Amino acid sequence: MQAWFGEVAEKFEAAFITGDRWKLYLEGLGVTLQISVFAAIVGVLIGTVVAFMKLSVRKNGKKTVWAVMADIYIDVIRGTPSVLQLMIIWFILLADAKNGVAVAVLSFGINSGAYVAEIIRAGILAVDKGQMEAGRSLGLSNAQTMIYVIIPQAVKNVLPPMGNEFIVLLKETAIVGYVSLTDLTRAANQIASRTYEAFMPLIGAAVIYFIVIKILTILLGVLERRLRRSDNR
Amino acid sequence: MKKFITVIMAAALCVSALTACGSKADPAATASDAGQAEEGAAAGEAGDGAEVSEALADGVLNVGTNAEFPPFEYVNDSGEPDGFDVALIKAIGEKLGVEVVVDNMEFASLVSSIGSKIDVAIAGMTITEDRQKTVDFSNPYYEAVQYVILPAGSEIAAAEDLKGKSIGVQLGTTGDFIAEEIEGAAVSQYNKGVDAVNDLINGRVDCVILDKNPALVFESKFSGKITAVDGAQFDFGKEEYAIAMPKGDAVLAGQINAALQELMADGSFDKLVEQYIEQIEE
Amino acid sequence: MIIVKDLHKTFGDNQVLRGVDYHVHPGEKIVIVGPSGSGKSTFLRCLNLLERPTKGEIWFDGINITAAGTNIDKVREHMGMVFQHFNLFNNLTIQKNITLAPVKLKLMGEEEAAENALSLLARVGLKDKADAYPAQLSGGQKQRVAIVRSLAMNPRVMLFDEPTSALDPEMVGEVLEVMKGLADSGMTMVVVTHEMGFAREVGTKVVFMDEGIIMEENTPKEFFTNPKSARLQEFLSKVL
Repeated sequence: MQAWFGEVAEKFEAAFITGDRWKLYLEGLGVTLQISVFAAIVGVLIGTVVAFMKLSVRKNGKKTVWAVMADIYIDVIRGTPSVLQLMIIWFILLADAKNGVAVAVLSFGINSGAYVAEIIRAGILAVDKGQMEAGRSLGLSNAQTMIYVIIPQAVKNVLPPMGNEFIVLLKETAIVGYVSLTDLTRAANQIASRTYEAFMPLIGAAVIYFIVIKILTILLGVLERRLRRSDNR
Repeated sequence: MKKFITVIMAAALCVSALTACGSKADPAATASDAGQAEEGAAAGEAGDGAEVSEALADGVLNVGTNAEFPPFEYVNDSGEPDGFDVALIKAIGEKLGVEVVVDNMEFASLVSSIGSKIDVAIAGMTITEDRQKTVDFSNPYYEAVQYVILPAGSEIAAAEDLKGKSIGVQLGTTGDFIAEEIEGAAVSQYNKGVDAVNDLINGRVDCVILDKNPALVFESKFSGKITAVDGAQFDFGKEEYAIAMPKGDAVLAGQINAALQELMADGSFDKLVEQYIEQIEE
Repeated sequence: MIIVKDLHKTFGDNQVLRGVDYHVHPGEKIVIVGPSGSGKSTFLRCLNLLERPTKGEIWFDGINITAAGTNIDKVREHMGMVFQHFNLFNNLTIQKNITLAPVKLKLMGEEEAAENALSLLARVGLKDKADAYPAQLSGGQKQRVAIVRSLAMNPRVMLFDEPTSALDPEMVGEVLEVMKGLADSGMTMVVVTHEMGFAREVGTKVVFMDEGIIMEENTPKEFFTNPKSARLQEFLSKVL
């Protein structure tokens, strides 16, 4: 037991302390967060535009060209693995781009945009259609009613699933090692390839992901409760 | 902190028990594997060779490789791992009278998987002191050198030129370790050599450090775009490939070295070299 | 004031309106009754084009609002509408509910609109709810606010789409009270309702719709005491 304990301590030291390896995890986490946060911003921008494209209807009730384009985009993104999207963008579409993190941000942003678009669309459709009718009956335009009435209510519907989408996105970025970026997962792999001992680095990385996501979940819970409270203020 | 370590240890027990159960059906083998994963290194040279060779005696040699390293290992047209190393270990298996099951995995996780997921690894793996802390190596079977792959027209020509450059490597390979030591170099680690070469052609990295033979394969595949330069020109030392095996398993080492010896003596080894390697060098 | 010519509306294969002609004069209080599915709500919703008629014309104050190119938002500023489910803006306070349209449409300044809202709320006894949110109000209070919200636009006509149908019985009275007051003030009103008492008491004309057309129309007195068509007789026998 004593020997076993000593061995674990030794492995722990090799995985986290020797050569200041803990810094590699933190740097990796930095890259993970950087990609996740900026990709989330790109995703929300794309998702918003695409959601409204998809919601657009022609006078005769048929789909607009915009809506069809949005459908295709969402289909393609949801129908292919994100690791392939990343590799296609990295090695083919943006093969000349030098800033690796920016390429990853764009790739994950495009990926997340499809899911965000569906979240926003659902959030808007979930607002009672009487709200739009009331706005229109007062003489407000479609856009005015959207801005002052529908969207503020849709935001409340949308925030919880958006939080989930961000958590999914954050974990999804673990694939950037495929294109040589050193995120948290890759940092753990890198250390494992140096110590020839995979257990400590992988568990270490998992614990770090878990803690970050736990913190996010708690913050989202607080936000959600606050939003719900404003319903019966 | 103490509490944290306790939690980790508990998790370690569970996970290693699980992986051991997953890889072997034989309960005896399971027990020895689990013991080895946990205590192998601590027990050190004392070894429990007889038990492991018993695991071998179930008639299966589980071999790990990383089929991204032509001509030593690659995935052939029918989707199976193939190449010089794969052919060699199969020949060894034949000599030992066991079935060889090849598992294609990440290069970086090969060494740490020996003794649990796999029995041995053959993957153009260079003998290094670091790796020897965790595993034993067979007698070397191939002498290799690292090559530097450069885009056509590159001005990099000597060790000095590599300083401060961005260098592509395959994660956990010798090239990775060499690059790490180069002053001011920004190292990009790829899962596959070909990805590094692609980014070299895309201009994302200035050079790629890779073993000689795959480097030559890539040079011929991307002829005109890249050139592969002998690492001697950059003061890289020679190195030797060997089969990695569980630490302290003298019985297995003896068996494998004997088989290797026989293959070299009866000319089968040279035939494999001819079939897989020299073809490309010409 | 509102002239409807040969109005048709179909939803898919379902012919909801099958040729409605009607003329609303200034100051009239038209009460539309009829069995459910008769097309009365659809007819009302066509008047401010919340439903687009399939065929036919609607003229409001001399403008053909069904013609292509009519700015329907401008027209709606002058036609208030009250819904069965109130449709107060859930994200805004009562006062903001009332001031949103006048302010955003630049008919009033922020302060003027607020003053106007408060005095209108005072008229329906809800001044103290100005800073509350819709979720905190009872159904009857919500509907009174909804009426006030429409009135804040100074409409020339008010459309009511079953304004008391979603209310608990004890709250119907307070809403009808407000509507009566509005009628007394001379507002032109078109009301779809099941409240026969209100039709009799407040209506200047009562219209019976069935199967997508106007079956019968008369003064309240004649309508209820001397129904002509068999369908209306049957209907009245059920509801009275």
